[in-house]
Formats: sequence, structure tokens, C-alpha cells
Amino acid sequence: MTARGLAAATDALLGAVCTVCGVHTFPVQAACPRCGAATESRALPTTGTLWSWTVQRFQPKPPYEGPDNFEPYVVGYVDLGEVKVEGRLDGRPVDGWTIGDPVMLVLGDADDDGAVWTYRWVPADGGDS
Amino acid sequence: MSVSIIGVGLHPFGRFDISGREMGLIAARAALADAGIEWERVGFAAGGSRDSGYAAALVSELGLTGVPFMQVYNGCGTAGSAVLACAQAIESGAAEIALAVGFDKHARGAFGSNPADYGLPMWYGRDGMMVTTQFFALKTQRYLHEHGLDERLLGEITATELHNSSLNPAAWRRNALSVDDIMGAQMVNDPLTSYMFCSPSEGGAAVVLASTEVARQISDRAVEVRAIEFRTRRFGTFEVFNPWLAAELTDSATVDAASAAFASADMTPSDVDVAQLQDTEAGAALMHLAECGFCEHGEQAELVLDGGLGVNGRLPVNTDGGLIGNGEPIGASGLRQIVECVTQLQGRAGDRQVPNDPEVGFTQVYGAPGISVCTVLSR
Repeated sequence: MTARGLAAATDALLGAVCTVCGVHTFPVQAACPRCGAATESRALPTTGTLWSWTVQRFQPKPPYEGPDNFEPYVVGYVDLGEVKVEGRLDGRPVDGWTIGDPVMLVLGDADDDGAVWTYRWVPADGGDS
Repeated sequence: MSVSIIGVGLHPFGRFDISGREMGLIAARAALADAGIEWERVGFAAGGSRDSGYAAALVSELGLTGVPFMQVYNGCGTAGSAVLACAQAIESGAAEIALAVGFDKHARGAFGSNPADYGLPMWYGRDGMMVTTQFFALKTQRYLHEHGLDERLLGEITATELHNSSLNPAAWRRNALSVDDIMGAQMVNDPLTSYMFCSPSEGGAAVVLASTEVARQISDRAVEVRAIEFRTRRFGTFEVFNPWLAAELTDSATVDAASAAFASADMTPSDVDVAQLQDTEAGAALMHLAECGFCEHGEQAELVLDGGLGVNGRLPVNTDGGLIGNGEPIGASGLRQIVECVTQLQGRAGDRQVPNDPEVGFTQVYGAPGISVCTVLSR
């Protein structure tokens, strides 16, 4: 099955790279934010290291959609080399994360039309620390 | 720059039973009274609010004199932009006397934001990442890590500011707290606890500016605007609501605005006797100390510990309690900083007065989406 939405066909996140200066963005944007040139779509690396993290300890206002009983969750930036991608972290207790942790991508929920709209970064060394 | 501030006015910050607009009007009238001039003499005005209506509509109560009144909205830089417009109107010769005013009244709790307004996909909000406090925490967490700073500095800064606001009758938060109280409070977004954040609030602030020549005729306590500089972000800065960050990060708009302000004033950070810095939360205050040039990155402890930022400290910062002690009515916040600096330089700050006749003040605002306004003021 071909993933759609924010995902590439290869189970990676779909970003963009500037055809002139090489800047990477996520998600895809048509023009480069540095030089204004056109961009091309590019599947981003699926592994990286945790660059920063925090715990979301209160329930955000809409448009947030979460479970009826709010549970704190972790958000971070993952360094993929050419770009740092923000995302939610899973697979460990909320206070179990350290900058530099190796993580990998897992695609998540899809809408009815098959468009993927969530993804999670999980420990690349497998399981709880 | 040959522009001076001849009057300041404030409606206290906090929660009140009157509208934001009324607070703006009270602040504007207070500034005119402080300057000792009538509204009819004002040749240019600028102001704004986010949630409390049109600043220019204040003319229906100040007086319909036909004055050009420029309405501005520029996020946290709204008030700074209003002052900039006034200073440039005077500098250009278009007006001799100008009024800058800002006011606001926000609902309780963190601001809610719609992804589409920022050109972002809806999933970013649906999945719980469209949250301003998260951004502040992610940036602070990374900053502490990169520069080897102790989380306790966040508590120290907050304690100093809340001590200052406890001495300020116009401030919202009037209870001083210990560093342990602050560190042990409810965690909102790690490493930031509830007391380390400013909250949306209500208030109004205004200043009357004049050409330095006119100021000398009107006032014997005018404070000179030595520089006012406004910058927006360049490529590669770390801003709110970003699903991605560049491989190499760049200095923020604050670095650009602050260095331009010091250059234009022909001064250095070491000349500053009292400073008001943007402290949306304690981590921002910590970063802004270095970004404005008051210390090197990672060397904040030398400034912050042992009350170094207190009114009697090495560098008095946020002497009225800052945003942490006053909350943030977006339209008014940057003007509150200028009002406080002027009050300090004039020796009128009462229990929180910086000793030894401070001569040079500095203000800095920073906000979404990556804008900064800095001023250098002197007696």
C-alpha cells in the first residue's frame, strides 16, 4: 500500500529539498525558505538522534484531538542530519528521554482516505531504558 | 536619534473589571498628564492591541483633533513598533510630539492557535504540537544542554522577578516565592514549572515622545531615546510553530536588534545600568541575557546567582517584575518595559528603585514569529 498524507511511499516522512541551495524542509513546501527557488519532494531519513524534548503535561486546546482521558505525552525534535523534524515520542515513560537518544520513525494513524496524519519517534535501541 | 520621552503612563497589569480599551485610555491620559501637555499638542500617534479593538478609536475620547493615528499589530512587538513609528515621525520632522499607546485584555490560559493561520497543516495541531509553551520548553531544554547550564537558574531568575513584582504596586503577582517553591511547583512543559511562565493578562501603557529640542523646553526630566531597532528573523532561527528546524541554526532577531541598537547608540552592554528583557518564561530571560550581549552564552550563572539581577545587583533586570510578574497583555507589554526604564532613570521607582542614579536603560521584546525590538534610553 502506498502511504499518503505526510508520508512517502517508502514508509518515510516526505520532505522537500531546494533544487538550488539544498535546504531541506518538512513537510513539503513548494518554495525554498532561504532562497525562494523551487523544491523537490524527498523521502527523509527514518532514523536520527533526539535533539530536544519536553513533556506536554496539560491538554492542549483544539484543534488538538486526543483521548477523552488526557495523558501527558512527549514532543521533541529529531536530528536527521539535513533537517531536524519535530514529532511525538513513544515507547518510554514520559520522563525517560535524554538528548542524544537514537530514535526511529513509525508511521501512525491514517484518515479514511488513507492519508497518514500521525507519526511517532520510538527508541532505535528497542524498548524501555 | 534626537527623540526624548517626556511622559509615561500605565494602567496596572493583572485582571480587572474594565475593558482593555479603557485601560489604554487611562494609560494615555496618564502619560499626557505626566508630560504636562494637552492632547491637542500631539502631532502623531500610534498604538495597538491584539484582543481589545482599535487603538485609533481612542480618539473619540481623547479628542477628535484630526491627528494621524497609525494602528499597529505586530505580535509581542506591537508596542515597540508603535514607539518606533512615533520616534521616526519625530525624527523625520513630521511631528514634534507623539503618543504611543498599547493595551490588551486576554482570556485566561495559554493562547490557542489555528495551524492554517500560520500556513501549517492541520495534523500539526490535531496531533498536539501547536502549543506555544512546548516551543519555549524545547528551546530552553536544548539551550541548557548545549551550554551546560543548571535548571536551577530558571528558578533563580523567576524568584528575582517575583521579588521585584512584590515591591511594585502596579504588578499582577504580588507574592514573592523561594527558588525551592518555584522549582517544586507543577511542571507544565519540562523543564519549565508553572511559576516560570508569564500568563496572558490585562493592562495598558503609554509614552509621550518629543523631539529632544522640544523636550528641553517642556521637561526637566526627559529621557533620551538613544536608539530603537526592530528586526525580524533570518533563515535558520528557532521559532514557535515549526515542524522542522534547519541543519545549522542562526542567531535570533534579538541578537540583530540588540547589537544594532548598541551600535546606533554608540554604547555597549556594559554601559547599561537597568534592563527590561522579554521573559515570556524563565528560559527566554536566560537566553536573552546572552543574546543582548550582557554575558557570553553559558556564563549566565555569574550574572544570575546571588541576586545578581536584583534591584541592588550587578545588572538589575526586569525591575518591575517583568512579564513573569505582570503577565502579558500583548499590545501593552513592550511599552511597560519602556515605562519602567524611564521611571527608574528618573529615580521615581519607589521601593524597587535601582540605587546610585542609573543613567542608561535598555529594553528588549521578542515574539512570534521571530521579531525583536530593542531600545537604549539615557538621562
